[in-house]
Amino acid sequence: MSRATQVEINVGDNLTITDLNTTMTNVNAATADIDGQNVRDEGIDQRNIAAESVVADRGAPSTITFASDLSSTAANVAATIWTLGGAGLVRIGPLTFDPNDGKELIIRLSFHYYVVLGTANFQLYRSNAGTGGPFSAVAESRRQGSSAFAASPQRGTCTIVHRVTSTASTNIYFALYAWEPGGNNITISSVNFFPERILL
Amino acid sequence: MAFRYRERALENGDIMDPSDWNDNMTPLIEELNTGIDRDNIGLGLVDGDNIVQGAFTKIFGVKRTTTITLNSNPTMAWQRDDGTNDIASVEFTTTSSGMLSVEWGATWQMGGATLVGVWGWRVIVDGIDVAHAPLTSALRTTDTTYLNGSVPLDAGAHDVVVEFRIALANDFSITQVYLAQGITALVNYGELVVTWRGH
Repeated sequence: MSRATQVEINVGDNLTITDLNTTMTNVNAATADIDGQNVRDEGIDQRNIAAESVVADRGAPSTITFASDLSSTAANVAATIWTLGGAGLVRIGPLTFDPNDGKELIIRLSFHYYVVLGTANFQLYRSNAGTGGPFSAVAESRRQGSSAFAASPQRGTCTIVHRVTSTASTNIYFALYAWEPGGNNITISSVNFFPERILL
Repeated sequence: MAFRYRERALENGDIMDPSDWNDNMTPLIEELNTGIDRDNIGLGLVDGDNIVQGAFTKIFGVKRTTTITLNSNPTMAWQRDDGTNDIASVEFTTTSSGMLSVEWGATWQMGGATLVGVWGWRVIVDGIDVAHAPLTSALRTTDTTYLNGSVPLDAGAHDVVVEFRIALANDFSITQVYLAQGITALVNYGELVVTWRGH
């Protein structure tokens, strides 16, 4: 906290210009280092705070969010970025993350899936260098659903929440990869994929 | 407050009194020393960079990238670990009251099963059940679960824990326990994200 002190001048003092200048110098110095302790308790309102400085910044550009009720089916035996029919690649970006800027980045992805047999795998992949990649698997985000019996295909919903905790970049992309190692069809539909950037 | 009336209006020809100077300077000094408030600051002028980190939001989390084999304790009671490692848990302290949001998602798997079981999951905050999944279908040997919930919290120390329970479902009852059938319960991947927003 900066604190300015006043040089009191009393009747009968020998007035010097130094007395006056000292007080003004103290004020000038204090104004250069104002912080929270200079502010009265509960003295700031929401109106003082710039828009989207505190609340979540979900990003307006359409490339940052992905939402579609379309459906598509594919038999990927290895991890492959998912294409949702006419909606294209299930991918969002570019996003910014810096572990030192006081902002958190959280990714949420929800969708419906159907796998006729075998174990469907879903996973977030991340690129730090734009759409060209390379895309790397986010280990903790892997989700699986399996059908125990061929006569009982599995249908369900999957939601993945992921908190980004490392590797600063201003060109991050996340994508949904899906595959079934046995080559069985997976169907994915109703995808909602969006980031949330939060000021701490 | 923003506007201070000048205590003394000095004019040419006045007899100089030091009090005039002191009285005019004192309110300015007081304002600067802990008296600044909303009236001193323009609309929307405080940017995120001006605000100390953690003033409004704190986020905690834990990620699971390795498989945990859950405790084979033969009971329908809620369990939270393999005897050593929690499925997912965080502990934290807040200095003011606020609202806590918890999200947890994971892939779980049943191993060694000749019969399949039904699973239940919940997220506990300070002993309070804030998110609770219904028992799963008995036909799912590998599946995902996602839970979220919110709860108001007072200032102090808090803990968030994910718990599970499991039973055989050969007759779609949940009265039997799984241990005798040799079923193992695994959690392969997952992430717990806890967001605290202060008041």
